[in-house]
Amino acid sequence: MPPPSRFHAVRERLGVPGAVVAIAAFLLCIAGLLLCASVDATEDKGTGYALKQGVRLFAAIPVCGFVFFVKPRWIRANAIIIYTLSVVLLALVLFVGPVINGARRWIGFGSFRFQPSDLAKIAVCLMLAGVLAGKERARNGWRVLLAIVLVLVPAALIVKEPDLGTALNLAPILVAALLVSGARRLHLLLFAGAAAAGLAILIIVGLHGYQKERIDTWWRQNELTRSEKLAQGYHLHRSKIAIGSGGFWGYGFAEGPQNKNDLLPERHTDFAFSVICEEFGFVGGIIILILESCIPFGLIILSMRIRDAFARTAIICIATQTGMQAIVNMGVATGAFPTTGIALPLVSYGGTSAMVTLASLAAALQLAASAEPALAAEAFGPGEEATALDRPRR
Amino acid sequence: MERARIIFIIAAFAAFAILIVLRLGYLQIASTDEWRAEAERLTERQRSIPYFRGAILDRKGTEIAVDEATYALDFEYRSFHLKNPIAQALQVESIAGASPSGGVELPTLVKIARDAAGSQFAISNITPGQIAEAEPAAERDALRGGLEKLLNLDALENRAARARFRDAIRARSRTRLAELLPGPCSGISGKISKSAELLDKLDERLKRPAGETLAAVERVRNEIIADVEAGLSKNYESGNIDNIDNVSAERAHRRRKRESWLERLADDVGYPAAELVIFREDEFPGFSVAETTARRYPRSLLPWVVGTLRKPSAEEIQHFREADARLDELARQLDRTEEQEREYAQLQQYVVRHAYEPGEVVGAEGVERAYDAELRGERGRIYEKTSKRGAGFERPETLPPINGKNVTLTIDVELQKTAQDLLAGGVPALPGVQVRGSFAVIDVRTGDVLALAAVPDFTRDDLKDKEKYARLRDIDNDKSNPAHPLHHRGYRPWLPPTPGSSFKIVTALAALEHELITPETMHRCDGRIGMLHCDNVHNEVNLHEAIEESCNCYFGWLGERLGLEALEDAATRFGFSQKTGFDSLEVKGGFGIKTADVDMLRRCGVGYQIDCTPLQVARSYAAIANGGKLMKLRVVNAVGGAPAPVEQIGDINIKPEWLKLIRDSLRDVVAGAHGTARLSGLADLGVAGKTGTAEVDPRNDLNHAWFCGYAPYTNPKVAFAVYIERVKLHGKDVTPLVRALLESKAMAPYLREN
Repeated sequence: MPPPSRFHAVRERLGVPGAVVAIAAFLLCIAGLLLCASVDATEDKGTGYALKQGVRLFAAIPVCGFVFFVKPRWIRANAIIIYTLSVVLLALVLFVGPVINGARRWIGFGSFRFQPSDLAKIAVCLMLAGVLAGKERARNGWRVLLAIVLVLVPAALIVKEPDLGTALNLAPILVAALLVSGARRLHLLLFAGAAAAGLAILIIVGLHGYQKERIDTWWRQNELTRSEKLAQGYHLHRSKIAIGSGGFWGYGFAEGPQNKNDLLPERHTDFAFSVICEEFGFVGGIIILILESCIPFGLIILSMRIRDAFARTAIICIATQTGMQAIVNMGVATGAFPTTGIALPLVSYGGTSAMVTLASLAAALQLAASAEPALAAEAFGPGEEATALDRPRR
Repeated sequence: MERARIIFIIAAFAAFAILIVLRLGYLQIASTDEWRAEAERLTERQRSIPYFRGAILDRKGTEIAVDEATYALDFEYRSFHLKNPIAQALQVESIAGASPSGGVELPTLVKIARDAAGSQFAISNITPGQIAEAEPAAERDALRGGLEKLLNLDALENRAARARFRDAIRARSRTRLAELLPGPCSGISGKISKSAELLDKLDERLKRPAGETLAAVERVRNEIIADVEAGLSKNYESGNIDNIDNVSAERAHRRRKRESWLERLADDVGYPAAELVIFREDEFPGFSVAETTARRYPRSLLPWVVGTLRKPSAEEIQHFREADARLDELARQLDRTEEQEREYAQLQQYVVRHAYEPGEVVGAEGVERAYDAELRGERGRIYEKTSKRGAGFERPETLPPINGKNVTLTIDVELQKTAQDLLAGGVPALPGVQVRGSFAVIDVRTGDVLALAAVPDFTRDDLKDKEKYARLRDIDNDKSNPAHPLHHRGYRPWLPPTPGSSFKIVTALAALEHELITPETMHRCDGRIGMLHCDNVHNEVNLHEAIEESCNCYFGWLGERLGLEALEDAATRFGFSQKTGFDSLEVKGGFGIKTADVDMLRRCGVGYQIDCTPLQVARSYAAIANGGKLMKLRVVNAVGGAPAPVEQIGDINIKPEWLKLIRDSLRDVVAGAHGTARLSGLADLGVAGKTGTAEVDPRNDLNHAWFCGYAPYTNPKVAFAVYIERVKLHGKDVTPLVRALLESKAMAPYLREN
C-alpha cells in the first residue's frame, strides 16, 4: 500500500473536529459579510463595509496559507519574536497611536491600520505554550511565575490604552494554559488566590470612574431610569431592545428597526451580534452561538488527540481565546456581562481582528495537523517535547 | 489528570454557552413582547394635533376672538447638519478656529474618518466629542487646513451641491421667505443677513466668491462653538487619560441634545411661507413646518372683556413635568399593579391631552382667563412609525383632538358699537366737543350687560402695537391729563363719578322705609338748603314731585334726617359700594366719608360724597324696574351651549306701593308736566328715568351729567345709565344720546314686547 500522502495524513489528523472548525470559521466569515451588507443597506451614506470586509478576508487567505503551510517548528521557534514584536507594538501604540474615541489602540501605516492588541492575544498564546508546555516545565513554580509575568506585561500595556476588556480577555488564556499544561494544584490555588485579591484591589481602588459606572449600570440594568438609559446604559439598553424585539424568527435581512434607524451604536463591530439577533431572531442567535462554539470545542477535541505538549497547549490557548472572546461579546450584547468593547470573532467588521483570528486558527490547525497523534494509551504521558515530524538535528 | 482538566475547560465553555442560550431565551422568547414595545417606542413618533381654542362670541354669535389654523416654522439642527455641506463646513471651521494658514496635509483624524466612512461625508461623522478629544492646536490647525483642502479639491458632488445651494437661495428664496413671513417674523431676515455676513467671511478665507446662506445658521454655529468649547475645556485640558471619565456621559448628553434639537423659529407663518419650505425642502435643510393654531380677533372691540393670552409660566409647566416624570416611572415598570395600571392610564390621558406644549397659550386676563379651562380643548395624537428619514404613516389609532368650548358673551357688539359711536359723537348741546363718559346698558331681568361703552376707549389693535400702548400708558399715568384712556369709565374709572340726582331714588326709599315721610309728606323748597341749592324754587313738593322736578332741598332735608348709617345701608342694598362682579379690576366706589355733619348729610342725600360706576347705577335702576331684585351682572351668557346661571344677589325690600310710587315718579320725569327731562322726547319711547347733574367744579361750572332709567316703562326690559364727565351740561342735555340709542336698530330687539 502506498504511504498515505501528506494531504491524507493531514485530513486524518484533523478529522472531523478540524473540518468542523474550518467550516464554522468559513460560515462565520460569510455571516460577517452578510452583517456588513445589512449595515450597508441601512446606512444611507454609502459605507462600503461589506466590500472592505471582503477585501480583508481575501487578504487573509494568503496569510492563513502561509501560516498553515509553514513548518511547525517555525511557529515554535519564532514564538518569542512574535511576542516581543507584539509587546513593542503595544508600547509603541501608547506613544504614537492616534486617539480615537478616547483610546489609543491603533497604529497606522499609510492606509493600513491595525490593533496590536489583536496580535498580542495570539502572541501570548504561543508564548505561554512555549513556556509552560511539558509536564516538568509546568510543575516548575518559577515557570508559572514567568508565565504570569509574560501575560501581565502586555495586559498592563493594553490596560493603559485603555482597553480593559481586551486585557481581561488574556486572563482565561492564562488560566487555560496553566490548567492544561499540568501545573501543580498548589500553584493553581495560589494563583487563584492572588488573582482574586488582585481583582478585589482593582475593583476597589483601580477602576476609573466610568468603568465603575459601567459595572454599576450593568448590575442595575433592569432598574435604570430613562435618562440613564440614554447615557451610561445606552449601549446595553439598545442592544437588548434589538435582541429582544427580534423574537424567534427575527425581522429579516436589513429589516430590523434598530438597524434601519441607526438606533444601535457600533452595530457593525461590537454589537454585530445584536443586529443578527434582531434580524434573524432566536434562531439566528443560536446558530451564531453554535458556530462560535464549534471553534473552541473543535479545537479542544482536536487537541486531546495530540501528544505534543506545546501544540496541545497552544491549541487550547487559542481555542480559549477565541471562545471566550465570543462568549464575552455575546454576553455583553445580551446583558450577561458588563459592557466592554470586544468584537465578535470573524463576524464583526474589523481591521485586523478577522485576519488575526483566521491566522490563529490556521496556526492551531497547523499545529494539530503536524503534531503526531497520540496513541490512546500514550495520550498525556509525561511531557513529550519532541514531535515526530521534527527533523533530527544535524 | 490533564484529561480531566481539559474536560473541565470544555465544561466551563458549555456552561457559558448555556448561559448565553438562557439569556437569549429570556430576551427573545420570554420577554420579547416588552422589548418589541420598547423598540416601537423608539421608532414611534407621536405628533400632536392641535386643538382649536374655544371662540369668544358676542350675544348674537359674532366672533370676537377665534382660533385659526396656521403654520409654524421649526428648525432641527440634526437634519440641517446632516444635509447641509455648508453647515458641516461651518462646524469644522468653528471647531478648528480661525487660523490663517492653509493648504496643509490632511490630518490623521480626518483621513481616518474618511477611510472609515469612505466618502466625503466623513466630516459629518466627526462629532464634537471626537474633535474635542483631538490633540489641541496642531490637530485643530491641521483639521482646518484639511477642511480647506476638502472644499477646494473636492469631488464635483460637494462643489456642485454648494453651488446649487447658493444659486437657489441667492436673493430669490431668501427675500421671498422674508417677504412672506409676517411682521413679527421679519427678525429672521435679520438673522439671514447676519449669517450671510458670516459665510461671506468664511468664503473670503477660503477665497470663494461671496455667497449667502439661510436663517439661524449663525445661532446654530454659536451653539456648536459653545458646545465644543465646553467639551474642549472640560475633556481635554492636559491629555490625561483620567479626563475622559466624563466622555461617555458627555457624548450621551450631546447625542440627546442633537437628537432633540428642535427649535421653533416662527409661530405664525401663512401658507405661502409654509409652502415655500415644504416644496423646496432641499433649499431649506433642517426647516420643517408644523400645523398649529393662532388666535385671531375679527373684532377689535372689548379687549378689556375678552382678555389676553400668555405663555404658560414655569410653575405651570413644572406641574406637567412632574406628571410626565411619574408617567415615565410607571412606564418603566414592566409589571404594574392594577392600581398602577389605572394611574398610568389616567396620567397618560392627562399628559398627552392636556400638557402644555411649546407655543401653547393660557388666558391671562378677562374672559380668556376666567374661562380658560373651558376654552382649552384637548390635543389629539397621531401615532407614526418613522424611519431615519422621518417619513411616517398613520396607525389606525389616531386620537382626535377635542376643541375648546365657545364662550358666548352677553354683550351685543352692534349695540356696543352704537353706544360707543354715540358717545364719541358728543351731545348737541356741545357741538364739536369731544366728551368723556360712559354708557352702560343692562338687561333688567337677567342682569346681562348688553353694552358698556366708554370714551376714551382702547381697542386690541392699540394693545398690540407696542408704541401705541406705551403712549396710552403714559397718558394714562399722567395725573394732569384727565383722559386716562386705559381706565374704562364703565367699571373702573380713574376718578369714579358721583351719581348726583340719580341717587335720589335711594334716599327716597330709605326715607320711606324708615318712616321719615309718607308719600304725601310735603316739604317747602326755597331754592336752597344750607349750601345746597335747587335750580328753581319748587315751593311745596311731595316725594313724587320732588323726584319729578329733582328738588335738592327735599332730598337734602331727607338726607339730613336719615343719617349716614341709614344712607349707607340703603345704598348697599341698591348695589352701591359693591363691586358688580364684572371684572377683577373694577372699582368698588362707595361713600367717601365716615362721619358727617349736617351739610355733608344733605349732600349725601342728593348723591354727592358717594363714588359709583355707571354699571352700579344701571343695576340700581334695574332693581327698580324688575320689582326689587338686585341681579348679579353677567358678562358670559353661555359656555359651550350651556347657559350660564342667572343669579339674584339681593333684594331692595320695597313695598309694592312704594315701588309703584317711585316708578310713576320716574315716568313723570320724562313724561310729566314738570319733569326735568320732559323735553327730551323720551316719553314716546316708553322710558322712565332720572336726570342727574353732579357739580364737580362749581367755579368753572363743570358737572357730571347723568341720565339713568329703564324702558319700556310698562314692561321693563333694559336699564341704562349714561354720564358725561366734567362738562358744562345738565342731565337733560344727555338725553339725546339715550334717545338715539333707544331708537337705534341695534336696540330694537331688546325693546320688543314678547
